[in-house]
Amino acid sequence: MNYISLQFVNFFIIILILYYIMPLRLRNFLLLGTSLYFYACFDIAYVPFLIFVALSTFIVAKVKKRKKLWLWVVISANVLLWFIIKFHYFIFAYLDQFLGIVKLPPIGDKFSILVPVGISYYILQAIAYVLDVHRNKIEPETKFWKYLLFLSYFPAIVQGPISRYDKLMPELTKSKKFNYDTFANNLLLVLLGLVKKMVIADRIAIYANYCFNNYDSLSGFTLYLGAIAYSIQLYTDFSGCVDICRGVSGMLGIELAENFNHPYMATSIKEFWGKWHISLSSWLKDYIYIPLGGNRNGALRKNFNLLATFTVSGIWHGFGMHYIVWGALQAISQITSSYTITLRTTIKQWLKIEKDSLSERFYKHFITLHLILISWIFFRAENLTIAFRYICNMFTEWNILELMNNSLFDQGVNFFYFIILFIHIAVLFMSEYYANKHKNMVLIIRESHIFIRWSIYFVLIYDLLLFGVYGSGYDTSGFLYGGF
Amino acid sequence: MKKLFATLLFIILLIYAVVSSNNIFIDKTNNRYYMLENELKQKSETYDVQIYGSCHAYTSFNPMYLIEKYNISSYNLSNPSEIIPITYLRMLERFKYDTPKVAVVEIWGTNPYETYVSTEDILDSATPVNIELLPISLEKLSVIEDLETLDAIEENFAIIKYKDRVSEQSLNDLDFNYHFYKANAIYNPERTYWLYEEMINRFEHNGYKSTPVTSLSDYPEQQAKVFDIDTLEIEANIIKYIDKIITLCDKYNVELIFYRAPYRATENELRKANYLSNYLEEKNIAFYDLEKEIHFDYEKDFHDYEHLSIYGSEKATYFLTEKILQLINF
Repeated sequence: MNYISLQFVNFFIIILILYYIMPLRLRNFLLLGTSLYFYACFDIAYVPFLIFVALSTFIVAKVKKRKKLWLWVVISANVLLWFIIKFHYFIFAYLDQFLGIVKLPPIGDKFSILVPVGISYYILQAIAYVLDVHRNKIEPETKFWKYLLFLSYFPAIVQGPISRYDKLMPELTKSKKFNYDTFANNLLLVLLGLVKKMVIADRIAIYANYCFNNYDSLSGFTLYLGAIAYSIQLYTDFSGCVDICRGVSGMLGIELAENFNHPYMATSIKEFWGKWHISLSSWLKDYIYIPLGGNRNGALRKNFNLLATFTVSGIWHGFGMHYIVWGALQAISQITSSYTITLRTTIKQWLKIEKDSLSERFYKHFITLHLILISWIFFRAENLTIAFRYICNMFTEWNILELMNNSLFDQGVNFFYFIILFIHIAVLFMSEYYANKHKNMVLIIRESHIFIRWSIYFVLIYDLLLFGVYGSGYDTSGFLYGGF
Repeated sequence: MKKLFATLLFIILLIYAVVSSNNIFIDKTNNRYYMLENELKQKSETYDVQIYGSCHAYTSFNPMYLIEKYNISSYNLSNPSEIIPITYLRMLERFKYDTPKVAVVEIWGTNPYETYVSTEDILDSATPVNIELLPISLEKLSVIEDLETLDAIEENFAIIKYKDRVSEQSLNDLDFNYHFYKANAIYNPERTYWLYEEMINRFEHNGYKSTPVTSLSDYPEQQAKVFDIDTLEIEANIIKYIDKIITLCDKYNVELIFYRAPYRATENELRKANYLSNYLEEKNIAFYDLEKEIHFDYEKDFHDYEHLSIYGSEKATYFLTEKILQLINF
């Protein structure tokens, strides 16, 4: 059951009605049952994996003796489980290669291991929970069903945000009376998320996919536009889905953590990682970067820690050198940045760019966004070779006149939809810029005059109906971050 | 309370806007049901005899003769490739404000799964066009579910189905009274074909004018086996709507006649017609297989292998009128 499907809408309406007519004390039981049912709808075989992760971490968090040993046992077991499930295809491929060398029959085709949806997310939640208990940051949960609800909570299980126990559990257990304004705010958040996902992400994906699938026969400006298209697709797809999940949860009176804070407004890579996939970034910071020593043991150690943290981030996203290089690039950009402050200051002085001026902000934005753009090519490409070839081709035959001929509009996004996309992207980033400076876009709309507010609702609904990519031929399973 | 009222008002406005948008986004030049309904709204007349079915009904029953010879008002409400479940929905809708004395239903529409037109063409192309603007109702949803190939959302919300037409919108799309006369004014020969012209003809003359274009040299082969062929059960999701049509006519006290117009049919279609004949006989409902009842001249009574010409339709209309007059006194 996908979040963007009629099946989910029907399912959620029923849950919503039951939820608000049910006595407060029974609501969390309903949420647990609903969450398990939702997860089982993908495949009933996924549920034992969830139960194993929940049970193992729940028990170990309560252990009194040899706490450290059990802690490492349970973390290792869960990471190993995740690693085998996630990368079994590659493990068996390499194993079969080895067996071929020693003249033994291959075994890879005999094993078919399921990859449960959302396992990468709830395992991180579970590890954070046992570590926080071990560090005495939180008390261990006494009721297993509550802990299972924390891990399986249906709006967040597919692609996060990765919630912390001390943040989500109070939300789950608080008294959740119906509040009209909260409900309306979250419904609007769902609508905005749907527009981001269905109108922008899925439309621009057509062009991005065309460029990445035909990188060998394309060059210059087309591939550059393709990389920009993918950057926008990734952001609108992921943040759109998170908006939907947060909105759905909010309608139940449960607030999920923010996962994005206008990341493309960042003026440095470090700032970008404080704004992009915040729940993962903060998890990596709290459970890898800081335990490794953070920035406490000198510059060299700090650089190593950064590199290790982002490499883990790369591995978390998937198997392949291109993910590792993508992760490493984030660290290298930050390390390089710290060593080139003097050089960059000299360049800015030479270019007569004043500190904190508009031109400096533009310069910082431009550099940051292009570093991210390059790194996303590694993220999107199927392997390292393709990523390098894409980048090489991007820097050949650079001809901006390509924009003038109609070939740009022959790749699945015609002139009309290109203009529609352009308007949407412009409105999205202008509103992000405004919201970054002032306050949440949802609140800005909700606090406006009823005539303006209703007009915006109508525009958004019609926008979705007319320009959304849906209907026959639309792959509803296509959330980019649902695959990680 | 104020917020609840505002929410309800917003929902009502939204529904109204979406329903109105359906009329804008639908491709009117392609939707004969839409044009037919608007044409009839402008005529604002009621008819004693209503004819339902597919193009076979349209080409075999000519209302022109009824008014000329018997002064009985009639209208041919048939639609190209219309199958029986949709015929039922249209009768259901029409009877609410225009209940005839007699309803005449041609039965080609009982054969969506095996006929001279491919099932895909009938169920994937023609049927969605025929059903999409019928008002949403439980009956309509039930038909959509029974036919399986249709999408409940798309067949009820043209704005969703035709959203890609957003870049092709013209002033015609804003004309909610768009009908055949207007379509004729922007006549485009590449988009239209024989039947389309005949539909315009229907409104100008309330009749049918197509002349023979083919001499059907091998048609007598079918004629030879019509009487000998056995029966084959009609699919349950189709016979269900024959029953519903009977119940509906009963409810509105409308006399009902089923008939089969002649055309080059598959053997199974002929078998199914025989099955239906027996089925209706048990229910005491009139059924006439015109191929058995009338002698047709293969040189001039057919427009082509599938449809009668103006001469063939005259014979069929006179025959059916005699049967109508046996049922009811006008």
